[in-house]
Amino acid sequence: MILLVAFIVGFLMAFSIGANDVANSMSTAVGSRAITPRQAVMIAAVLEFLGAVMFGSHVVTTITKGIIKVEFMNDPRQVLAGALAALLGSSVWILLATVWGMPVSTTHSIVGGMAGFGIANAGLHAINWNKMASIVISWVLSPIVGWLLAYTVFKIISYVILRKSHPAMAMKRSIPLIIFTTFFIVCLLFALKTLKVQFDRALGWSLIIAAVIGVLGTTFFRKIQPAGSDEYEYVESIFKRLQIMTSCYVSFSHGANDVANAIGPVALVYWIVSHGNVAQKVGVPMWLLALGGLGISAGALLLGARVMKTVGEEITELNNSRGFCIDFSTASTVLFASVLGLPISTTHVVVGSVVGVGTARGVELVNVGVLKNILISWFATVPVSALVSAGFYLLILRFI
Amino acid sequence: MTRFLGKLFPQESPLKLLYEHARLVEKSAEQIPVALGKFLRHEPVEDLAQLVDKLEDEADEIKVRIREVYSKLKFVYFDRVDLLLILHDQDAVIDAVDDFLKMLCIYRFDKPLPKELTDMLFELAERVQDAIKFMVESVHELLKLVESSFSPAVVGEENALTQKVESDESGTDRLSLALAKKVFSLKNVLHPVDIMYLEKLTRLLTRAADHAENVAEKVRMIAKS
Repeated sequence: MILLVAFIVGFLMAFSIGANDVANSMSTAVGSRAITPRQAVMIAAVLEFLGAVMFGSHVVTTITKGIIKVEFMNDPRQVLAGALAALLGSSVWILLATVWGMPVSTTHSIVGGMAGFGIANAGLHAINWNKMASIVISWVLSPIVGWLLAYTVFKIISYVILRKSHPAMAMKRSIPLIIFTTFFIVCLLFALKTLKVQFDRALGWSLIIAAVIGVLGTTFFRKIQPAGSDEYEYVESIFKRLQIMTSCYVSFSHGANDVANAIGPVALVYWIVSHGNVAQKVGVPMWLLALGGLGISAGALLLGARVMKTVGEEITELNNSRGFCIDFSTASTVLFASVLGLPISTTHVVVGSVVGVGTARGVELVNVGVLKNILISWFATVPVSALVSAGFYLLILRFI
Repeated sequence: MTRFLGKLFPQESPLKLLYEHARLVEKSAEQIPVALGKFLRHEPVEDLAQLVDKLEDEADEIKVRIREVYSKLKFVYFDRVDLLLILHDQDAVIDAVDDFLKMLCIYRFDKPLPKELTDMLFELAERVQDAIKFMVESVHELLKLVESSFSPAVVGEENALTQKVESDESGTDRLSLALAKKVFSLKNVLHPVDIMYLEKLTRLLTRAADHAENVAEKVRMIAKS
């Protein structure tokens, strides 16, 4: 019964991530009309699932075993109640925040929820403060990394393509490098961190796969000829197609990182129910990651299109070259954090990337008022969801 | 996470709005030679004055929208003050055109003007119209400049365009001076009120050209920054 409740709540959490957060992650591609909202949800449905299954375990492990010290997770009854409380606490807080229109991160919420149950169970010393500090630092650093990466990528694109006397020619020359770099990053991180392949083998295979895809992609893109005399129109049309690739990359990375928000506590509940104790290592079965991925995909597929359309319509002034930089930087930062097992907010990284392109004189304007709201919600989320989770924990303990 | 990402970006690009504003200025400037011709043929020009008045109202609406966008957002391609100054100058151009058209509605010459004088007036009107056309082109180039991430090649194009506007404006200055000299040289032929009236018309036209040049100069400064 408890397991069923955990599965349902976890699935609903994944569903809500799919319905809302996927839209934030992919709205730049929809806004710059690289893809339609319908295409965006189709891409999201497939790639979120793959990302969750292929990379999701790293972050799930952090959520399940990183935040609370292992010695305080000996009593299966308490851990069971705690995992459920964290899931319910963060869900309730996200629901309330959505009603109030606050930009609350599901990642921050679930981390707060787990910490809340730990503190309610054994006090402040139950928290693995070193891990907690590294998570909080990653929340500060990840938008900054997104910012710096987006700034650098846009500056490179500016100097290598946009500022050239013949940008169309420069664009054609750059296509292989762009495709190669994207696939090389994904392949290398997957081989190193998920498949646990040795570095030299991972490097070799990643180089080969990225080179093959690079050649195929280049052959496809070379067929596209400029429609008119405006070279910038041609450059943007190529970036529009490349953005389909980066949208996949964003979806994939988002699935890899955010599946843990829904599945982390469920994995803990499942382990206790099936093993009767909390082991040093809580395994994360592939089918559980698939369940989370499926929840995100279903959310995106069933409710994501409407949300994506709304967000996309709000950012129609973003052109494709800028959208590409934002997507590429966001996806790379999130994927890198995922393989390090750091639960970060994809949307916050998107914001960092937007500001990065803005400071590189790529985006006309950025509303700084929104950044203040994010910061306020950031400070509120962890303590509030911790408090709600602690309340649920004490309540659930009475019933099990 | 609520859908706040869309709020990060402006719903309307202020630069595109600025160009839209410039196009309205250009449309109003197109009425100058037409209205002048009608005026000199003693035909009514009220309909054209009304049209320009309407265009000015539309331009004012765009002005409000640009200011609204800027009140909320930061991180611009260049100093916000520069763009608002360009807007101010574009606004001054359409104001001058509007005043010119209204001026044509309030007075009539009793006797036809000497042909040499009407020719000079037409030439001045056309030069002003050209200066405004180049001004619009230079604002359009600003969009290209941003798209190209401030490419040196586009900066060069912008410079060439500004030089055209400047040379047009100095031609307008020379012509307006010659026109004023001609008007005053006819002091024994023209009615004193006609002289005063012609001097006012000339001033309004040169004012429009002056502000158009200011726009092009500011665009060039932005391009070079």
